[in-house]
Amino acid sequence: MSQDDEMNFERADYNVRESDGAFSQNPRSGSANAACSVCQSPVFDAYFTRNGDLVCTRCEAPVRAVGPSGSAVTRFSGAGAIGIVAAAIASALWMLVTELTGYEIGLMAIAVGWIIGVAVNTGSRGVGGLPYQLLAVFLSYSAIVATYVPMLARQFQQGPEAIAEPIAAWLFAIPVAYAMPFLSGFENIIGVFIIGFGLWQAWTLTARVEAVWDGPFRVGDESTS
Amino acid sequence: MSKSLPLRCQCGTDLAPGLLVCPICQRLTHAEALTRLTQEASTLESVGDIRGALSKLREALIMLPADTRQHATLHARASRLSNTIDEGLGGSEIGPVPTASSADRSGGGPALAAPESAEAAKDPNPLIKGGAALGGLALLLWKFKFVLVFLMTKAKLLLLGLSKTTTLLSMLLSLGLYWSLWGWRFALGLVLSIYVHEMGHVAALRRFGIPASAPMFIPGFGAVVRMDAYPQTAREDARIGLAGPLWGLGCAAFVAAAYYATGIPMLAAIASVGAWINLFNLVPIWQLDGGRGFRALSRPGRWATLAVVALCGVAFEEGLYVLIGLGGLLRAFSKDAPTENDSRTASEFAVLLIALGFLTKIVVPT
Repeated sequence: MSQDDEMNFERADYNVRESDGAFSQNPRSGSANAACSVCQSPVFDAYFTRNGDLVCTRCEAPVRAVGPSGSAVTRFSGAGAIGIVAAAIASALWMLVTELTGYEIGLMAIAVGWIIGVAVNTGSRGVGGLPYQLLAVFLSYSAIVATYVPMLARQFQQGPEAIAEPIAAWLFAIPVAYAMPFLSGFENIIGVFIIGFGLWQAWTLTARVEAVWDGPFRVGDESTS
Repeated sequence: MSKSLPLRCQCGTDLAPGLLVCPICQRLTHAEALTRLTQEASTLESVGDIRGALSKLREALIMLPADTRQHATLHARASRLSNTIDEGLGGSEIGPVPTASSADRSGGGPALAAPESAEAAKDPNPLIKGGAALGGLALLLWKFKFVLVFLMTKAKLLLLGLSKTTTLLSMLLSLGLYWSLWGWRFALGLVLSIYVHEMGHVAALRRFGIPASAPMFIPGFGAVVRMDAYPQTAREDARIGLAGPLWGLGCAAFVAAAYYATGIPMLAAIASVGAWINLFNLVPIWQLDGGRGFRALSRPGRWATLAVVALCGVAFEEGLYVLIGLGGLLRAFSKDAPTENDSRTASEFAVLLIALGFLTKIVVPT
């Protein structure tokens, strides 16, 4: 039997090890009933859990009633603005990596989806939901295909049927870029897969996250020893 | 575990699902299981089954709140066992073996273009060529007997992975996709390279007693192995992370040797692409293998590794080193660097950077 086997697993001992190796007393040790995560008051009669955190019966109703801050229009506008900035940064990052390495690295699509998903979710103040998911997916796809635009514009200005006006060439390149991943058919199936993973990343990051409530749970009569 | 959960604590409090501790009386929800697991760990340790003991402690740790003294004590004990296993490994992990994954060169990079040209260089008499190739390969294996020894000792593990339905089916799916794009020979080589890389991770996970899923292939991305427990220490994480590229390096080196022995262009293409994929996995960010390796490197260790990256970038003129360097630069300034450097991780990282660089430079005959 080692020393560890004789360890008492009866009750949680909230003593934390400090850097010098010694154990110090944690304020939670020896405390009475656990505290509500909202008002910090001890829980006595019953409790709920919200995403795993304890909520007392007094706080439960007010916390449930609190909705997201700001109007829906404000949140969506904010998500759009931050998302567009993020899409520009992500697209530039992709082009930079391609330029520096000489490779078009598919995993970058996931990074693009992640950057934009986080940005849109932040703009929505964590609300999420279908409109934000569609926004994030659209911006992610746009950011990815935007990397093709310079190359396409250059091509449209070359050859016997070249578009004379540079601006016209760039404008024409934009819709073509949106269709480009699918123009090669099965040849680019891996490319389509990779873009799909990137979009999925953006989609999942902006999904609505409902708080998980559980309870009420009755508190027993025995007090902490 | 959920079956043994008491719905009501001894103090009479109803317990919410998932609680590790009664919020009222602080009783540990899994007290009985914790006692049993630590006793089993001691028994296993006493008979020399360090891996089994560590596995039991990992099970126990997830039943304890992270800020408890019990967790700290068991964590320290598990870390000690992990280090014992690690020291027992010596350098045995660095054997010849197969390749990595989770990356893809979309957009027709040079290495993916190579197989097409290699496919085009078909021999007019494939039977004669095949016989000569097998003879050459046999000669090669005889000359490098350590390869045979390695394959025989690791063959069981390699075959074990194939017995998993998810692995086999996802592998076949990837194989079918790559086959339709680049032909069966290159597709098979690529998929096997990825498989061996993943089995490198699996071997390291098993060594440290960490439960994990079988490798699952994701067409276009490579494959993944999902861990069911977190590594105990940064060093352990680094060993698991770099095991994939190390096996991948072995695989690529083996295929390259087979190419030089037989002259089959396809082998050169497979070795080069396999090496490239492993090199890509060394980018020290996110969940990539290089990111795990960097966890065990101190700040000076990270700068030293960056110096190797810079030298390799200049020597091999391979763009991936720019990406590895940028990721490494971020990590060199990050606050997660341990004070103590793990010299083995640093050495392995350097070996991988250099050796994989050489292999990516194999010229594929057209």
